[in-house]
Amino acid sequence: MRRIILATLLLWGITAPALFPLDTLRIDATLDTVFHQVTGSVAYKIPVEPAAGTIEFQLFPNVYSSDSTPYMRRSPFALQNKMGDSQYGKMTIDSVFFNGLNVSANFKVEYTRGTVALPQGLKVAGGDLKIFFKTAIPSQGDRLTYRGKEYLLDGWYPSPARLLPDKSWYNPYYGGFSELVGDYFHFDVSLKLPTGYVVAAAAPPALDSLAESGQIVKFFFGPAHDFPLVVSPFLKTDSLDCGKTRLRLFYHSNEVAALGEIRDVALKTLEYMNNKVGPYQYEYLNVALIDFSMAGGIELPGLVILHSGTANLVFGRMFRAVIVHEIVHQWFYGMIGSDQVESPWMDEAVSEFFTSEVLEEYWGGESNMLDFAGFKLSDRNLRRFAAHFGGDGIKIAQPSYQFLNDLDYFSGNYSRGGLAIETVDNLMGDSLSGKFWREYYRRYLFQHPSEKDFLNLIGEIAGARLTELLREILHGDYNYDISLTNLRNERLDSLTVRIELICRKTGGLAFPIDYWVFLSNGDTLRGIWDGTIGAEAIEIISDSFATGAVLDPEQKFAVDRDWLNNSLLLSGSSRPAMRLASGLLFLLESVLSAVAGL
Amino acid sequence: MNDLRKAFGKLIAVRGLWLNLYLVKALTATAFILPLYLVTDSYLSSSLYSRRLLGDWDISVLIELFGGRIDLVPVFLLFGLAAAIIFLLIMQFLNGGIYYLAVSGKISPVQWSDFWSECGTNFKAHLKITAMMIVVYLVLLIAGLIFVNMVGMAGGKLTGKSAMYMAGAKALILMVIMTTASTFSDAVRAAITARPGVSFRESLRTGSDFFRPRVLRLAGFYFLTYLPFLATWILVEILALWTVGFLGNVVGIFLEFILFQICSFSRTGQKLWYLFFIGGRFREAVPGRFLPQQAELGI
Ligand SMILES: [Zn+2]
Repeated sequence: MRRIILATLLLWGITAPALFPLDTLRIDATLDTVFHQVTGSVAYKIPVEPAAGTIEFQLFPNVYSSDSTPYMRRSPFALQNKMGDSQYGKMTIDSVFFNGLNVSANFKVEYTRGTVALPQGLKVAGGDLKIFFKTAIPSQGDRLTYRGKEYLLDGWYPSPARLLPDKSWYNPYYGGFSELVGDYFHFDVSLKLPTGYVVAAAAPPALDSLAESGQIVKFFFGPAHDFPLVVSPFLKTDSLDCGKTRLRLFYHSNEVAALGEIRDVALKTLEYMNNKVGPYQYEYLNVALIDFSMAGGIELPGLVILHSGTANLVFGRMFRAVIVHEIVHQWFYGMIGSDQVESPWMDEAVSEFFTSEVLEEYWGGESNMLDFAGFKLSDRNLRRFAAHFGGDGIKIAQPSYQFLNDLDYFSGNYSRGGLAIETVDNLMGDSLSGKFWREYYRRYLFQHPSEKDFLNLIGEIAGARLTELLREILHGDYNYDISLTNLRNERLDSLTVRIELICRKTGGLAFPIDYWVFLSNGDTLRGIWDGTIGAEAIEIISDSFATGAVLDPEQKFAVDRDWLNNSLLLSGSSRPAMRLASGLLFLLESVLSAVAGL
Repeated sequence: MNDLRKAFGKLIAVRGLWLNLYLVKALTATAFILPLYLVTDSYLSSSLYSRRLLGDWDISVLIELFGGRIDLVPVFLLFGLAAAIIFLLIMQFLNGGIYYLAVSGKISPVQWSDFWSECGTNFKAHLKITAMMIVVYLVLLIAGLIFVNMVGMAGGKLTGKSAMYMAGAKALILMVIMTTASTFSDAVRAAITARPGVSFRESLRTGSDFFRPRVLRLAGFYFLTYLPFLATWILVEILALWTVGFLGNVVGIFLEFILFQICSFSRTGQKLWYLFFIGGRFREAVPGRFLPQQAELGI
């Protein structure tokens, strides 16, 4: 117990680069498992004088307050009214005290935004704020919900709105696909609940005592921008060393088979991310397996939620990718807190990119998603497929609430975003890439970098042209296609040949592109197409004929929508199409046999 | 088992029919795969990236091929559907002859003039059975899925290998249900072949009277004929991978093609073998117009 507090204090000392001094958020609450609600109080010190004479909170449970909230209308999880015993979510603020003064009368709620206007002339900085709340837990939420006796609690307490550098409040708009946003705090949490329940959190309980008619568990954790919990009487626990980090697993008895895989994947992901980006800052990494939230996985600070339904062998590789993705979020979201509402690509796209990196490092790049009966697929290429499904007009870098459906959101934000980051990382090259991610971590650990910060750092490390390229991809229409449309040899005299290739690109991509020309003498000519104009002929004088050429031979431009048309081989071969036709013929014959018997 | 051996002897005796039926299937499929080949070849032939397809069934090539041209996918699916419809129609024409041979057992030697004159008779009835069976299959598939999911309620929470076994068991249950249904349709087709004049309703009754008491045995024997095919199929898949892996050139692709076609050929043989078996059993139970000579004399 002491060790944890000490570690927390140490961390606090080393890593206090935040804009305003980190405060402690004290939560004192009771979980009522009969009426499925939490009651309690949140207390903290206001660090600076806010620009306006108000204090703001986020009342996240109100996103579940009806089927027609901005959040629920777009949510693929909007199943509330289909449940017989359905309960909507809601957060009620009973009273607010500032320095002991009851200011509840000045409290206003608008959807998820709570605002208290303080009496004029009152010094706010350093003042103590205490809020008494009651949260009704929705029966069918995605991150705040319960089923039977099991609870997933995220956004369950009134969370202070973020204070921006100009001391104004940032209280995000929780529309569709929006994830919780918060400032970094040290959490000091005390939860009373009936005996027999296990609580999965970012840290083990520092104190677990019996009280009248229940138990009280106390946690210290931070710095973090959220403190979620999984509460269940059925959870079993296991704990093992995963490098320097202690991995704590929370699971049901039928989920034992998945634990070995989780440990293996966690070990590898932690190792990769510690080296490539920066050390995991918490003593524990916690993984809870549940099957009552509809998401495949949810990232939370220090705590990863996995849906065990995807853990079977049939989807085993998908499960592995989900584990990697959620653990990577411990860096991009957890320790580096971008804005999940306004710039969801900064956590999702970056996590998708690193998921591929980790999978490729430990499971190979050829078939880390599928390897069965000669069929192979990598998760990178699966992402290229998914990137096609987003609708027209969406941008990778748009706010979460502007995505219209889950196809747009996942295709645009995760898939296209992941390919955008992959493109930029490829173009930086290995040494600059390492430098960039380590510097990004060093500079923004426990802070909230913006899109501008990300782009500026790219420029600092790799030059302004790459910044421009990424800005264009993030805000462009995603219709990039690089193609080689012509390859011609012309004999000038007995010794020289003029080779001409015509390179084209659509959608921008103002960045140099590599090309290779294969010569009849077996040599390969390597060059760079400047790529400042959309279509250009490149002339090469050589002593040998060209037999083929390829633009972007190493497939650095992951955002290129078609890699087939990047190359031209003068002696074409029908073998690939023949093999495909042979396989499809066999497939069609099998179907015919199935429908007609013979 | 003896009956199965006898039926296999008949299959060998009519190997020409076996080969020709396979060819009908292969040619119908080829007619629809050919345009697909021409279209894909124009994208793949001069591309370096497409060479990945030579070693593995690398899905990434298909992603590049169809990813940006998703509109081509439904076109090709429609091609497949058209092939299935045309093949179904051809088969309903041929079924007259095939079931005639299977139920009459007049195989050594086959009177091909009889075969051809039987083709097309009962065409409407065979078509009706096909239409009926499509509905039956759909209903069974839905019911089967519900049943399988009820069986697998506990399976939903399984993880790891046990979940895989559960998925395999579910697939097997579905297959048993569908196979049993197909056996029923064989019985009805045999009934209309043995007694061509009677009403469709009457044939249905005859077919199901034959089918009901023997349901387990008929399905069991179906699986016995299916096993050698299954073995061939698995062997072909392994050999094909090996062949292409070692010989990623024209020879490898050609050998793989031949292996696939051997498998397709053996599937036609499997069903024909089973038809000779069930046809013989049916004649014993419902001789119809195929009454043995001496019995006719007895009347
Ligand atoms: Zn994510």
